[in-house]
Amino acid sequence: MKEWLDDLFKRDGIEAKSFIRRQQQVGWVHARIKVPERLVSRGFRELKRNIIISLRGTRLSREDLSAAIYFVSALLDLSFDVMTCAYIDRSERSVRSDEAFRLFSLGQNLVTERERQRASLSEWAQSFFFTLQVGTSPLTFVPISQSDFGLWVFHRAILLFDRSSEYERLIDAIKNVEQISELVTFSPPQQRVDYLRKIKAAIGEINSLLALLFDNSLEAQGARDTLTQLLNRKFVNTVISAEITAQKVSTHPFSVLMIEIDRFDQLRSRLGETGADIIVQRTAQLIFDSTRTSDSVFSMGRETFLVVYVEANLLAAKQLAKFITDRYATTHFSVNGETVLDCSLSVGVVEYDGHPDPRELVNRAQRVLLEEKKIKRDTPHSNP
Amino acid sequence: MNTQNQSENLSASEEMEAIEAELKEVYRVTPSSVRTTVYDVIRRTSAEFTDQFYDVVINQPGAHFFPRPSTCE
Repeated sequence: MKEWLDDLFKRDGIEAKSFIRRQQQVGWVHARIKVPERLVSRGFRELKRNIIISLRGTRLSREDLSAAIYFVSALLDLSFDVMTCAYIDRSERSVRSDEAFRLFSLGQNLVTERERQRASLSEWAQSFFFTLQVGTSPLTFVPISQSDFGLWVFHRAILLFDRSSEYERLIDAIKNVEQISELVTFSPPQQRVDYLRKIKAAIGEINSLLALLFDNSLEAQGARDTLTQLLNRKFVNTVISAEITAQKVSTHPFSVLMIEIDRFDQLRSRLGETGADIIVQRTAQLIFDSTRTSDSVFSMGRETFLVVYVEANLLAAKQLAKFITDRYATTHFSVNGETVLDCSLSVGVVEYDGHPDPRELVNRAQRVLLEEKKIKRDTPHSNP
Repeated sequence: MNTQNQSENLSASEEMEAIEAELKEVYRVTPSSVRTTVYDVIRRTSAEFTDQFYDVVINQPGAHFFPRPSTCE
């Protein structure tokens, strides 16, 4: 933070774009570690107060002091504005990603659910219009909020979509249909046409919102890497954040292994893209088979993988790394009839150290992996 | 959906442009001697300001979320 402060007020003036980028990065970190912005705002007020007190102790003229106070306040306010925008943007993405991961874990099939709910809404509408057409007296029909569709929206959809703005609009549209359908009940047949048009329009809106909500969730739901079928890297923060939260309660350690196939570029030139894909798939399978069902294995790029190894300290994680590399070293891959004998892995192993930002743990594992590769490069008879 | 994202992105970019313009204006109207004095005060006291910031924040309700300086510096 000291560095951020020095940078914010640096003497040589400011480059606006780099100022914005820097504040955005801070906002993103706050979003990742879920710092309430209220706390940041409180801290900023304290900062402002203390800087102003210090400025009063300088020899600035009254006019310059006023300019200095304006300068400090404006810079801190602008910084907070950018941080807040970045925070909101990342928090929304993170919430959607968390939710998508939760759905994925629950094994929900959103495509099937979407079609089921469309059919359910259509069934209610048909039944409603049929009742009006037949014209029983008094008119009796199930209100939309009590229909299968309505119950699903109020009790299940909220779990699927959370309280997004589209969800709130969906609720409003349903209430609208409910109100109009009640008015229809008490209106003479000749006045019903207008109401029916309104209901038809509102049902159209419900359908659109439903499609939008499902599309948003489906977009975020691509949880598996297509090549390896391992978890997609976009869920790394979600999984590590959950482990950090669990660790605060249980105090059990957890570790991360960043694993990379050595000399992958050479392998790719020799075996071609298809051959390289086969190596990647088999490597992913071997890593996955070496872990427990409670661990999470991610594809972090084509030849890089990450394991979140739960309830495991550094020693246990290093043992797992050794188990994987030993097993890999004795595995012979066969690609297009050619036996590939010279595959090896490098692994960066770190234990969670209490830093609240999940990205920091991944970066640390990355750094250890690079050191590991460097050591291998510098060691005779080894050439990663 | 894409249209909505595009309009959100556009609006976010407009917000940043407005902030950028305001920032430039703040620099324009602040005499460079004043900015230098502020910088000197900050540089001299930033460690103390940082401690004061954390002291206040950490004592707020819900502050267990907050990254402590020992893990963030």
